[in-house]
Amino acid sequence: MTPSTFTNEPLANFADAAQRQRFAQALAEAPRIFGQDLPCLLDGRSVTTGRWLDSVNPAHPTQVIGRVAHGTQAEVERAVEAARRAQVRWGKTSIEQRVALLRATAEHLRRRREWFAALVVFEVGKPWREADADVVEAIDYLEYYSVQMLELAKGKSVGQRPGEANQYRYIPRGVCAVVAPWNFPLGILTGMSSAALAAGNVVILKPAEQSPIIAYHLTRAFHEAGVPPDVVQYLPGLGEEVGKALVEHPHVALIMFTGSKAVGLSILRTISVPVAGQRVMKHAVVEMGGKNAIVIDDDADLDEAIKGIVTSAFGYQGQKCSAASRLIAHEAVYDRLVQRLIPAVEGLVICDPVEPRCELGPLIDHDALVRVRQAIANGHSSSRCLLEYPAQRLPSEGYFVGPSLFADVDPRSPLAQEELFGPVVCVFRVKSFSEGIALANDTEYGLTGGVYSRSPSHIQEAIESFQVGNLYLNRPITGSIVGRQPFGGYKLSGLGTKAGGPDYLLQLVLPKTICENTARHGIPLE
Amino acid sequence: MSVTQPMASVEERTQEIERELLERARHEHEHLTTLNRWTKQVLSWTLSDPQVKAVVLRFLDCLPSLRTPQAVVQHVRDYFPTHQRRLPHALRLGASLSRPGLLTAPAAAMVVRHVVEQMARQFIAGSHLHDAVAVIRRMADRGVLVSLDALGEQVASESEAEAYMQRYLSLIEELSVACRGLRAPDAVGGRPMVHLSIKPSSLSAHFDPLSMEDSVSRALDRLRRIAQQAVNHGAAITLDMEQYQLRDVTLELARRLLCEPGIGERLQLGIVLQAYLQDSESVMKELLGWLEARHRRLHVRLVKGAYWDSEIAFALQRGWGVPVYQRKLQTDQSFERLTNLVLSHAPLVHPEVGSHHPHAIGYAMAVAEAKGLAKETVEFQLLYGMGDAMQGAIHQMGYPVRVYTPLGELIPGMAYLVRRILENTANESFLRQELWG
Repeated sequence: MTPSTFTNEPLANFADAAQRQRFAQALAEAPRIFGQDLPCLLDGRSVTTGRWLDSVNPAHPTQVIGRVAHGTQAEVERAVEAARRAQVRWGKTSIEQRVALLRATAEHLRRRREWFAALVVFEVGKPWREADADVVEAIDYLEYYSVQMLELAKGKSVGQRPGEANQYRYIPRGVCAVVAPWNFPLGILTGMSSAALAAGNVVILKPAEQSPIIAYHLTRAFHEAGVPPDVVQYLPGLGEEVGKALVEHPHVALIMFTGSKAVGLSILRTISVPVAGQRVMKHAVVEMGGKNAIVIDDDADLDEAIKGIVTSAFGYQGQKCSAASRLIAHEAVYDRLVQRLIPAVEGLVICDPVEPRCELGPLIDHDALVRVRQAIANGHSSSRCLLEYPAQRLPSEGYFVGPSLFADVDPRSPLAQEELFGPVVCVFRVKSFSEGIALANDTEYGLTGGVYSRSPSHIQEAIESFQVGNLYLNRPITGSIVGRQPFGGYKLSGLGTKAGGPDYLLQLVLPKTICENTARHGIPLE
Repeated sequence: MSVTQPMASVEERTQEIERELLERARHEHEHLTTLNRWTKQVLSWTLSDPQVKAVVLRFLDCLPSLRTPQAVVQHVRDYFPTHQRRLPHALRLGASLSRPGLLTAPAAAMVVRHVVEQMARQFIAGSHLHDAVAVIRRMADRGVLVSLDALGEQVASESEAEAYMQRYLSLIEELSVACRGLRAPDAVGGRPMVHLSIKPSSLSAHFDPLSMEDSVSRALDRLRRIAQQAVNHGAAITLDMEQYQLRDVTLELARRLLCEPGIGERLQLGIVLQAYLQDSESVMKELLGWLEARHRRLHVRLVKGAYWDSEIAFALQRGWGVPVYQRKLQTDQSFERLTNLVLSHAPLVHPEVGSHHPHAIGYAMAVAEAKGLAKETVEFQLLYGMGDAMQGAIHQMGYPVRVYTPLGELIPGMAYLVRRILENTANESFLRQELWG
């Protein structure tokens, strides 16, 4: 019997020597699969295209994790064609059957949890805890959306009158392109695809160029769990080529995207104009960036605030859409906060994330390194640098950059306004809590936000006025948990969809009304 | 080799001792004002209503951070709206006085601060060296020893850990000088007058079980110097036990220190065993084996454990099994099993029983008698500001007594204070009996 309630998968407890040992062993064994050539997985076949893309370890860019076949327009056509055929079957597959397959996939990930986490460490440079949380999130999504779909399948009740039977139920939207980011290479990818699958849509996975190996193994996990190979297809490639072609394809009905604001907005623009042969209004779920702030009130517990700031701003090198990049401190605590924060950040251990002591790993790739370095250089010329991590303490190879803190930043400047996706933080001084909230809101984004305060009226003010999708009070602003802190922003951060929340699946289905006349000639009413 | 008496007679003897302790404590109590009026007022009131208790604790937690009278008044209004009829008298006063036009904000704020400072002073000795010396002298007059706990902010950086280390080093040195010539209390068996309880997390900003090796070596670099200082001055140190997450890394730190040449065989080092942890017994047995094999001795302070609520929340939020016993009876039984275990291995370990509960204390004494242990080998430890009468009673019965004494300012002390109040407003607490009795 399938359970009807959801329970989060436990996080790894690294205080337990046995769990540390298992993780270390998985890290030692993971390189065995490195260096393989991995094909596209289309319509049940392995397809190579003659074009290859290397995926490398960002801590050691000469180490190739694997090579994946690059899709082109031709593969997009082939994948969508297969998906259209599969959609007819998958849409009619009973929800119980779909859910059973998703749960089998979760079980598969559970059995190989350390193996997947190790792959996350190597392919995208996450430290142990972050890598473990990535896998746990993937498992949680598979289980959570299963439970949600069983609930949604009941439909909603509508009015009834004698002689007519009314139904209100949900049907799949159709072929879904999942265009995923690299920063939660397993979690977000699994989240978007499992939601689409649960809702009855077949999926074409277009992983990020930086994390195609993990995506390949997730696809294999779906297949090994029994999801038909044409229901989940694996199509790596360039965003501007494969991603774009999928979005524009007349037979792709649903696009699920997590990534930059620029791409997200261009997807929304593209789908608003039907193309030749298109017979459905496309729908997109887009989750974009943030320029997230933490406001530190004059009565904040600074011990807690400093811990929370370090976690929020520098966890996974600040490469999370939920990461804090702006600190807004009340003038009464500003000096003390900065004075304690600087040495705390300066002491962070930056090294290869395979090492358990690692607190900051590398940035994802060379482009990111150049971008963040440039932003730091700009910061130096336009504002006051509070902390520059000594370069000689950075590893000699890999895309490492030290964390930076800047003060006296112009609130309208790019440093204060644009999402950077790196360990760079602006610190602002304000005269009151209300001014702090106003400054926090002074951005086009509205994803996450945090408040450290012990004043009940200020907390109430934040609840009412802080314009973010996820507001965190007296705790870090990253690390949302499926089913407990549904995740997603508004303003230019997103359309208000909440991953891991009770309304998410509604975005992936279409409501259908059925009304039957039951009062035929000669048949009495009930 | 002592002959172990049957458990029934230990239980009988426990009850006998417990009665004697309470009798003596009652007698002592007449000569002491264990709790000042305000503390009693606020504590007795928080006992009655868990919801209000939470509000009061949150307010206490926040109060020291408030810099202006206006801020105090605003927070009093926020936390204790005037329509709230269930307020403690003192705080209700603060709230109604803070209404515009009745009394100036500075006056109202002063009332509130005074109440809370009075309460804090009940449990925290002061922040200066002379406060520490005064406590040691005052306690010594009553035949009681002290262990000092240097309260402070959590360590956020290595420079803050460095500052803690300097504080420990100078405390040991200056207290040793100040206490020279001070007569040790009777029946303490050559126990050091200068004793520090050290939080391992204060030794490094990177004290994380995930990176055991790195964490231990960073903390050990500082602990080694503190230990050397202690050895030089004949002082002793105990590594306090914090959250369960830090238990194994703390024990590893203790083992590594005991292996340090020149220190390991000379230092009087203590660790803490928390009875509310389900695996304390197996961990202790493993540690006993290690001590035996390495020919090292260790002081073991047996306590109930003070992080019960946060351990449960921490584990449940992560989907882990709860590491603590969830029923008080189980913890009490564990305390007795661990008492037996630790006392059975004297003098490989020096037993220290940290409890205010007359039954737990009586039980340890009964077991000690049954095992034929000399009274001076079993130390009893109590918390500063709590159960002074019980301290006197234990001392009168001929056992060494040490009082765990926090030293520090109000702000960093507040977390400690809140923990004590939480602990003491829990059901069946000894303080409760003292309050109502």
